[in-house]
Amino acid sequence: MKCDLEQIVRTHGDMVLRLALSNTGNKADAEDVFQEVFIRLVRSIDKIENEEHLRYWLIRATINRCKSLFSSGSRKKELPVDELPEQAENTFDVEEDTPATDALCELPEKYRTPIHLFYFEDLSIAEISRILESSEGTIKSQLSRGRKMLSESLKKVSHV
Amino acid sequence: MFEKEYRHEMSKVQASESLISDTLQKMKAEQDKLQTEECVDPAGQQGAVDKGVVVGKQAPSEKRQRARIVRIFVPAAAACLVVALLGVVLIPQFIPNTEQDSSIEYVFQPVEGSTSIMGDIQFGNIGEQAAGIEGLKLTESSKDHLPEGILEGSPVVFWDHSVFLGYDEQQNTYYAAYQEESSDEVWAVLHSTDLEKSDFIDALRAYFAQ
Repeated sequence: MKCDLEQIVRTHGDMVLRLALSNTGNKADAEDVFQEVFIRLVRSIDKIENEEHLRYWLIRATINRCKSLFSSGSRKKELPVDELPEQAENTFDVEEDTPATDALCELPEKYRTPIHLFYFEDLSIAEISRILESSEGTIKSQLSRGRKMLSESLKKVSHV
Repeated sequence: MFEKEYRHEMSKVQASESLISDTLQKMKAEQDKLQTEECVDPAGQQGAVDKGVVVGKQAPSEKRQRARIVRIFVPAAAACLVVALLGVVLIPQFIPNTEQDSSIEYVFQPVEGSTSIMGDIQFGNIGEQAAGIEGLKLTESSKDHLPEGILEGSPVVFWDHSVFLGYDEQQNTYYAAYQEESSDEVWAVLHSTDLEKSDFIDALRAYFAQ
């Protein structure tokens, strides 16, 4: 696939970043994942056939990179605001009050990705099952259980 | 409600210009590194030599390369063929004959036209038809393998691909069967499971206590 890498980063970067954030729950880790995914893309770009394949590749690579991050134990800690370096430019803004995102990040990992892909990226169950290499039945049950856990979690937050 | 809030929160997450430009710089560095690697790749080295670039060890001649391929790949291919032939001969002997092997324990046998079990917890009775648990019945052979008291008509709890049959407090053993994804058969699993035990098991106990 012929491409302009910069165009790809600008077109799909937000998607990668959001998926990374939904998995890591952490801005710094999400940014690391973002960079790693696109750096890896440089080596794999010739194998990408079309736009849809690219999108699937990016999603899959982001998920794999997030998993590697968890398994390697190299996750970064959030620093308190007064310990941040003066020039923290490579950041993105997230609202302080994000109960829905926080609730999602508390779910077990296997539920987070299907929920994010279904509710935010608007992928169908068939597409999600293809990307995650799981059966549609498994994706449906993960969505169902994840939704249930989220509603319980959000109920607790609203009662506080 | 969650969907709306989540979409609202996530829509505000955007990669900053500095993150993008830093990433692009690193991608460029990776591209340069890749091009350098391609220049030292033996497959492309003839081209590099033609251009007068000396990049290290000279590539082996084509004749030596062919000899190496024959030396390595032909025996490997022969070994694979032998293993495949052995597999074709030996593996069928290990596949159990489902009609004659009494150690295979069918708890349920789907009735023709039944669908797989999915979704949330559902309560029902063996042999009955209800939403999500259509077409399941005990087979003759399975009755001998089930814990005492689980018969046609016994209450069961279905969850996703699993069917919970009961819990023996004395032995601290859950009796369950699970549906394999690749098959419509349901197999008995007569031991404690590693299934999530939170609200589901509480619901299970409450149901069987009725």
